[in-house]
Amino acid sequence: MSIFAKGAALDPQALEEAAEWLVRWSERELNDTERAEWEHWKTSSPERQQAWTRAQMLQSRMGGLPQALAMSVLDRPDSPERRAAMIKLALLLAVLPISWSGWQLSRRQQWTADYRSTVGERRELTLADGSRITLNTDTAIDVLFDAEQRLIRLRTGEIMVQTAVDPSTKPRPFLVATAQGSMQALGTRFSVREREPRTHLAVLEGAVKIVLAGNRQTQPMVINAGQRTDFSAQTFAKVSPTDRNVGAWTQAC
Amino acid sequence: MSDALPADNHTHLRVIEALYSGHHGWLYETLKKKLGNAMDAADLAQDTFTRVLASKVTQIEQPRAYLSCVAKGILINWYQRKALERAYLDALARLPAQEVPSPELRLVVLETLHQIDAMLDSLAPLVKRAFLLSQIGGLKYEAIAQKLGVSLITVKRYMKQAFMQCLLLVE
Repeated sequence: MSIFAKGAALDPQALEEAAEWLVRWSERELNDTERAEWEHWKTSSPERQQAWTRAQMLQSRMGGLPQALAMSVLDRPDSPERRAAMIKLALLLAVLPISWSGWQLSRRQQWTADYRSTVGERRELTLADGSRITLNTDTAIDVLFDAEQRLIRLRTGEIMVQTAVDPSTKPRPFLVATAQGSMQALGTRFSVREREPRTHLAVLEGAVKIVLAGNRQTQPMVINAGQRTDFSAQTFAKVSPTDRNVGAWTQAC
Repeated sequence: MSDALPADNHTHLRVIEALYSGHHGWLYETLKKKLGNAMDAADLAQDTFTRVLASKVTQIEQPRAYLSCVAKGILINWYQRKALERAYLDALARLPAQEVPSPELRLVVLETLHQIDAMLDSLAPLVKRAFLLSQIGGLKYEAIAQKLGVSLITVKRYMKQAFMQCLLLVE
């Protein structure tokens, strides 16, 4: 026998009727006519019988509890930790349709998410601020949003970023960091490919400011729309016009 | 004779095995950091995997993201349970000595309270309140209506809604 056959499905109609009887019973003692009606109802079909069995289970569960004790425990105000956790869960569920993206709260109270695409996979994400990120094949990023910044750490692979205006009251910079440096979006659409030991950046709209990871003395470089460059942790390559095919991979399905 | 297993049961078990060996340590560490307590973290990590095991899932794309999500739900219940236990201990402390239940009974009552609490959890606050006033407090519907500032019809509607919820969830 299949395990699925155990415990027939509950009949919603019968449950509703049982709930109505419970409402009446809780209001006052039923008179003889009503009682006869109820006796007839609960034996008139297997579904009703099953529903009333549950009602009895419920009554035995609720009855016999020490009143004062039960009331003060069950009627307690919602705990702040729990409410905070519920809000976080709601936020989490808001991003679920895009992917099973998990969020965890680190000690620094920042949102961290790990997103990954497998070989041959392309994945689109919408972040909490409305920014959109497309992961090309075999890509891994961390998303670190806190009060100061919106940081994407590109561990490996390639991403296309379409930033959104920060909805928080104090707008935070949008940064993409690789092992070679960090890039600050200046209202924009751009693609970043990390291929050890260099990062390749192409800007489609707006501009991006790059700070090298291994050489803080070098002035940050601003790359404008229609330009691309690549850089190591120490140096920039020459800036050149973007390839017409930049971002073409985001269109393919 | 042994029951026939669903065809994808083996896939399910393989997935869980891989999930466990690959990510149990990570989940445990994450929870420990969050809760600051190794024992609770171990329990919650275990609960998370138990939940996954019960889910019959056969394909998990992003294991850690998936586990975080399941663990988050479990964590919320855990907070709720902690709050319930605290409220219970407070209430016990306020009871006159002769009314304090025996230790065994105390546990049974706590377990029952937890079950009822979980059943009522998703109800709107007023609905839950009306239900508790009637079923635990023993108040008449008229008195509840007056206390909550709603009509008698509304109280009956709340009661039906709460009973429906309980009938669906009672075990």
